[in-house]
Parts: sequence; C-alpha cells; structure tokens
Amino acid sequence: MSKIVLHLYIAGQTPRAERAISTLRRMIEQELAGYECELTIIDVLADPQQAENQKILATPTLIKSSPPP
Amino acid sequence: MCADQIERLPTGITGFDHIANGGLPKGRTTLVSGTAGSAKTVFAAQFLAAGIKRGEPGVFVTFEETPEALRRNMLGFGWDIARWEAEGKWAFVDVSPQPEEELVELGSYDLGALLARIEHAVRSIGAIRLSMDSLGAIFTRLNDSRVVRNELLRIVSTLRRLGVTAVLTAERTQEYGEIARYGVEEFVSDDVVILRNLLEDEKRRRTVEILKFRGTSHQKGSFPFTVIPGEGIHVIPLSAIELKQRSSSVRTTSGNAELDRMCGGGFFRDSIVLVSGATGTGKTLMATTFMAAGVRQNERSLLFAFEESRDQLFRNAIGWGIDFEQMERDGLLRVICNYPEVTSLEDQLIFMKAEIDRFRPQRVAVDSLSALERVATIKGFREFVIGLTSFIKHQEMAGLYTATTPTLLGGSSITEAHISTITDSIILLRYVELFGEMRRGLTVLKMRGSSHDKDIREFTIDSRGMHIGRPFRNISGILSGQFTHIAPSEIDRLSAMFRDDEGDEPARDTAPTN
Repeated sequence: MSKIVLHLYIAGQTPRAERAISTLRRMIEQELAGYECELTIIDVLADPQQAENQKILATPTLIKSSPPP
Repeated sequence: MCADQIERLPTGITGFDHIANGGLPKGRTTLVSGTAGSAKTVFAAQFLAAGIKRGEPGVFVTFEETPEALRRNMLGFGWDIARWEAEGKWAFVDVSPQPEEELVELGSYDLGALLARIEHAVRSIGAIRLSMDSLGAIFTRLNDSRVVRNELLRIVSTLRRLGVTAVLTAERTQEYGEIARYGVEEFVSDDVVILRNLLEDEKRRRTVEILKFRGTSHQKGSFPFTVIPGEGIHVIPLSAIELKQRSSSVRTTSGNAELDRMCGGGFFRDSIVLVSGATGTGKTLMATTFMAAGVRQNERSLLFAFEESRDQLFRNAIGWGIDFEQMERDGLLRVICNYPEVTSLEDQLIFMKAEIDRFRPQRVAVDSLSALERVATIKGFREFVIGLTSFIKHQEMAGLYTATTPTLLGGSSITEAHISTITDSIILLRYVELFGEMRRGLTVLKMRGSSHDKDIREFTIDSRGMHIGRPFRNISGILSGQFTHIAPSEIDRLSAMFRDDEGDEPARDTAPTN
C-alpha cells in the first residue's frame, strides 16, 4: 500500500483555513487510520511561488499528489 | 475646459492614446469588453508589450489560453514573450484550465491563492501594468459566481493598492447591448472600453469605443481599428484629427499649362484635387501627367493605382510620351499597384501611410478612389478618405484623387458626394455629345482660395497628352448630360446682356442666374 500524500493550500490563518485543517486531520485519524498519510500545509501568502507552480486558484485547496486515482 | 486631474498611462497602442486623450487612467482597472474575435486578447497583450518597450514590466493573468499558446500566438505581432520572461519584464499567472486536473468543489472557498499569486508576480518583477484575460472563462469554471465576483472585486482593489494600471477583458454576447456578461461592469465600472467586430454589408469592420472614463475626458464615439501582423492593434483616430495643417499659397504645376491657367496659376502645393469623370475621359492621363510634372521638377512623386496593372500604366504613359520606368530608376517616382480587394480599407490606409512615410513624396496621386469604394461600407469609405486626406495635408504634399462617375453623360458619383467637401479643388471631365460626335469637356468646379476659369472647355487627347481648347459656346446642359444647342445669335445676345462695365471680360466670375 503506497503512502497517501496530501497538500493543503490555505491563504493565511483564516477561520476557513482552520476549519479545513481540522476537518482534514479528523479524516486522516478516523477514516484513513489504516493508511500511511503525509499532510503538508502550504500557506500561499508565505509561499506564493509554490501556489504558482501548482496553479492553485482557490483556497483552501486540497491536492492528493499520490497515489494516482 | 478644466484641467485633467487624473494621471494617464500612455498605452503605446497606435492611435488609442489619441482617442483616450493621453492613455488609460493611471492606477485604475479598465474593463475591455467585446464579443468573440474582437481582439480582446491582442489588446491585453499589446498593452503589456507596449509597456515593456517603454521600460514598464507587466503581468499577464490568463484565464483562457495557456501561456504556451499565448507565447506562440503573439510572436506573429513581433512580441517575444519568452525572451521578456527571461529578462524579468513579463510574468504569467497561469489560471488557464488544466485538462488533466479534476476539480471538485466542496464547502466554502475564496480565491485567496489567485490573489496571492497575482500580488507575488507583481512584486517580483515590479510590474507597472497588468492584464487579465478573460473573465468569462473563470465564471464558467467555478460554480459560485457570487464568490468569483466578490473575489474579483478584492483583486481589483489589491491592484489599486499596488498602484498597477490594469486591463481586464470580458465577453459580451452582442455587439450592442449589456456591457459584459456576469455583470462584471458593476465592480470595475470606472473605465470601460468596448471592442466591436461588426458585420456590415458582408464586410467586417472593427471599431473601438471608450464608453467611459470616470472623472476624466476622452474622445466620444467609435473609431475603426485594424489588427496587423508585426504591430497589433492600430486605431485610426478619425474625429481626433485636428484641422491645423498649414496652408501655403505656393502653386505647383498640374503638368498641363492650360489647366494651370484655368486654376489661376496651378494647384496649391498642399491641396487635394479631385478629378471626376466617366470612364475614358482622361482621369488616368491627368494623374500620369501630374506625376510626370512632379518628377520633371525634381519632386518625389508617388502613384497608387487600384485599377490598372503596372504594365498597363507604364504602357499608357509611354503612349503619352512619359517614361515611368526611367523615372522609377531615377528614384523620383514610385508606382504602387494593387487590387483593392486584397485587403480591408483600414489596412489599405495604414499601408498607404507607411508607403508615404517611407518614400516621403512631394506629390501623391490615387487612381482611383472609386475602386476602393467597392470594398467598404459608405461610412468606412468616408473615414478612409478623411484619414488619407488629412494625412497627406499634414505632410504638406500635393494630392490628386480620381473618381469615376457611373454614367457616361453628366451625373455625379457616390464618391464625389462623400468627399467633395474634403477636397480643395474639383475638376470635372465630361463627355459632350455634339451633333452625333463624342467630345470631351473639362471644367474647374471649385478651387479653394483662388479664382478660376468658369468655362467648360473642350479638350482632346493625343500622343502628347491632353490639350485644352476653347470653351463650348453653343451648348448647354453638359453637366446634367442633357444637351441643348443654342444658335450663335442667341449666344451673342446673352453675353451682351451680362457684359461687365469694362466691356472686355464676358461674365466670368458671376454665373448668370434666371
């Protein structure tokens, strides 16, 4: 079973971002408990180049980098 | 007029700054709206390209085409985007649809990432200008148009804070109707420019109109423009043409001594003469003589021919004893022949202006305007003639246009009706039916700023050109084409009635009425 790699893009520590992070953490702990998970949180305000490279439009955006669907 | 408080940023788009009274309002976002194919993307890209040439870096936010496609498509206009990117003068923010990406919208979101990317791009290259192309694409991609609208408002206010002058393009569904889809004008409504691509009489005509510049002035109405390779958008600012050309009283020869005499000593050096006549009356001959006379005085002469090929023209000229080929070799003459159908009238005008700029002639002839009339709408044709005339006059050149009348006898042409007020002098060439024979008559109808011969004179054409003879005395109704012959005794009686006090000058400057 390959590792699940998730990237969450947020724009600053907004309530919306906080909610997305906590929802995601809960999902990983409860529903994906049996899998190996790696979650990276990227703040586009701090690292806009990363957002540019990944062509992120909206925030919060969750990208599943691997495994492919 | 009060002073304009709002600072302008010259766009660098040819002619546009003229109708915008200097440029786009600085630090604001202008909405550029148009239907599909109205050159919105070109406008957006040219705004940046022209800025780079002035040393102002720009950011292009693309919602529709990919950066690869834009780099490739814009190369045709001579804009090397890839090089500018390498030099840090141009940056893309790529928001174009990614076909491989699967997008699922869940919960609430905003476009904070897009805003951060735009701000980052602007700061990293120190952008002065920004283009966003085009809004419709993002509205169709995201379901919640309310969010998109709010977020765009946030982007526009961020741009204002950054001091960036921006162009935002948006789609319209109709040429006339609401400004743009999705009600975008409601939040970026300070400045609105509309691009149109109209179909009139099966001819395409592009126009640009500045709908509003809040709190500042601009030229009203729509102006024709064209998109040309190697340059991009080229606006032809017609009503912005100023009537301030100098006027000289220096005379120059028409190439025919008798005609010069009839005009009171020749054409004015910076005037436009219209020669109107039916087919075969000698219009091309007159243009040819006019050119040759220029060359003979060591003036550079430029002939635009739209009816005959070079070979035909040169052969005809030889027939009248004029060697065009030798004149071209000497570099004093340039003959440009092409069919009016090969291009639109707007492009034709730009092409002719470029040729005039390159050759710097002292005289220009166009043979004939009527041929150009075929390819345009009446409005388009009129704009063309005004544009060309004012350009020629600003260069202080002598110009001669020919126009063909549709009927053999009498009558006037549409061409004349539309341009007769623009030209300074009008010479009419007419067939005269005289006792079963076709003769030719010539008259100077108008000569602005000078007295002239009022007679209708007979002329003949032979191998040495045109010979103007005596006035037609015993015939009237030449201009209407309905001839009436008058007995010689009657003519004597009439001229006696109108004889001046001095007695030697039969009524010339006052046309007899009643």
